[in-house]
Amino acid sequence: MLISLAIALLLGAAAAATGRKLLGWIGFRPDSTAQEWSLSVCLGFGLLMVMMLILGLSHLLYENVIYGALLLWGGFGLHHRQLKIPRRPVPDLRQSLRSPQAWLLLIMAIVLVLGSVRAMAPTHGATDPLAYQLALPRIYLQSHFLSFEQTITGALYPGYLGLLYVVGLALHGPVVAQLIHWFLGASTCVAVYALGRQLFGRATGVWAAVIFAMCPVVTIFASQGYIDVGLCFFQFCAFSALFPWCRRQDRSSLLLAALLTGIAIGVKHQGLPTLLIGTSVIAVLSLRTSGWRQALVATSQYAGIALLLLAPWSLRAYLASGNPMWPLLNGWFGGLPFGQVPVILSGTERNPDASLLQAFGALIPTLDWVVRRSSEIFLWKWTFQAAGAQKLIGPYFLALVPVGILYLRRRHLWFLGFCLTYHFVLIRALHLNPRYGLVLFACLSVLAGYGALRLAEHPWRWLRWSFIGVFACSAVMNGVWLFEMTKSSLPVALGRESEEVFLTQREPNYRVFRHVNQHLPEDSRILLQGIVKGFYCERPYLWDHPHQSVIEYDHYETATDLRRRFDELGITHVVRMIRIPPGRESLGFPQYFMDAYHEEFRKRHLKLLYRDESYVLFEVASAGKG
Amino acid sequence: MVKGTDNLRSSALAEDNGTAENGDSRPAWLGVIGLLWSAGIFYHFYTSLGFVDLLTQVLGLGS
Repeated sequence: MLISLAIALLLGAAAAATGRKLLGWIGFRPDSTAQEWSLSVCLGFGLLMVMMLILGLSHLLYENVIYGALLLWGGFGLHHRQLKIPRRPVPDLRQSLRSPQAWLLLIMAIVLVLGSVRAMAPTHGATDPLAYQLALPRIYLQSHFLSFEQTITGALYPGYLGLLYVVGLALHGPVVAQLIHWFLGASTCVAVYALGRQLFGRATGVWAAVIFAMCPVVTIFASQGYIDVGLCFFQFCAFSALFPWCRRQDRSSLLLAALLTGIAIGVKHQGLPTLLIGTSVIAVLSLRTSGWRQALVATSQYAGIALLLLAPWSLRAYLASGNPMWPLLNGWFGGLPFGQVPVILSGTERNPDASLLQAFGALIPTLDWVVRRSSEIFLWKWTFQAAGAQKLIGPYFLALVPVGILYLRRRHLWFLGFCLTYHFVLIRALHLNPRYGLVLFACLSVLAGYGALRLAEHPWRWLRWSFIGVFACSAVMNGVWLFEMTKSSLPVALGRESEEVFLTQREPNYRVFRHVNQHLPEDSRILLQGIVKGFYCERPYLWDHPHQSVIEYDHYETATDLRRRFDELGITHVVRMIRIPPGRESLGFPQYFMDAYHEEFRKRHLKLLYRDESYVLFEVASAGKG
Repeated sequence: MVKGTDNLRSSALAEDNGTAENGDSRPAWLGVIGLLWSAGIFYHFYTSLGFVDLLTQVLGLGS
């Protein structure tokens, strides 16, 4: 596992080196080494992802080709000695230990190390990475191109970060992919430091980075193969390039902001607010300072470059389904049918068939909506009554952002306005889900860090030590919680427990797929019924979830009709979850073994091959035997 | 203003142009409000969500 960590860190170093060269070409003048480093990592990984996209679209995702591309990419920066390691005089240890900032950095280091240990555990547990965020990259690597897996969630979504996971999978398996995500989380801490330093000074930057690193939703998700912390990194870097443009209005800042925005919106649809906010800011500021002609040019350049980086994904989706955002806005584009069209905007009218204009119109909240949802849209709710890990933001924002606002100066009010705007975007367009809008919390970390600094540097000695004591207690509590969360991963991360034993005990899917991989013929095609995450399945498969429309059970009245559809699709086996958890039934999953229709089919056409306490494997009985 | 004897603090503030000692004239008692608010939130968070129980369990202090 330590090899995986070394590979991930080497990739990060290569991204920083290559990106720094690109940053030099663009001509962007960073405000600090930290900003230069984070923007370089962002650009470097951006270039690698674009290279992988070209390979993926050209049917060239072979391991040897990927290694060659990596050598070219990493060698480019490293050859030009672009890896900049800041050299500072060795600090006086005794003096450093008396500085709160040194202790803050120590806290952050502990949080990041614990995160890396969790990332070194074999991929297990969470649904999204095992069902699609890591499962799709694995299928791309197996099929050597960006194949369209119609039944897998997000099959045609933009997926730059997934392509970075393809690299991780090709190099040393899924743990490298998880460590890449963790590395992007650590890089976000550096970027948060850089912005905090730029806006309020170095000490605020340190407080802000520590607060972001200790945000539970970040610590939980950064160590897994999700893409949300990565999206946050790319969005935050895009904004970090946009803010200098607002000050300088120069071409290099505009170009950098456009490139990074393009990468951010190509990571996930939830990144699109970056483009909307960026375009609005550039249009308004250019109009005020340079007139409408210049405003039009600058806005078109920014949006054009950003959309150019999104275009290959949209084109791929359009060619495969007839909808460049499939299955989003299916009612508007009329693309390939999808079981249930996802709702994008948390508008007053939740109408999936609304036109684009109606959908945006629905963004404007009514008083009734605000009253009805008031308990869900403020930090209080996410702090104390978080519904699940993805809304767990921890206590720091509610405790310290108001303090930061209390001390905010007029010249920084624009930043508060920016945070409020993104908060509005989060509650109206991103399902009120903090995980989809982590960039807001990265920005709020800066405000919270400013508030923390003002208390920690307060002129009254008793007050500042009281605050430091309270913060230290919170850090201890967080540390205990993180350690509890991490300790089960320690043995496998340190090589004292085998991956096989770890996965057998902790990933319920693993045993059934081990049986599939060891015993079923190579040409088997498997239907996964229920919450069956296909990552460990090495045979082609379809996922029977409520939104897929490949097998629409309503269309097949009898077991014989359904069997005919199975034969059309070439399904030879079924892996089924024995008991669907009660919370998931409401999403539309049937309780297969209690459903008369599915039981009839099972009795007539399925033959049991394997079972454990959670999953069964059936063979579809050959025609004539059923 | 920063006391000259508090070297560490003054050195940190010298890097932080946004802080009170660099021209902000807001009253010091604002800090009391900030401290009470943040301490209250931290206290409510850690006591109501089971963190204290977790800490006593990890440290072996539970009965």
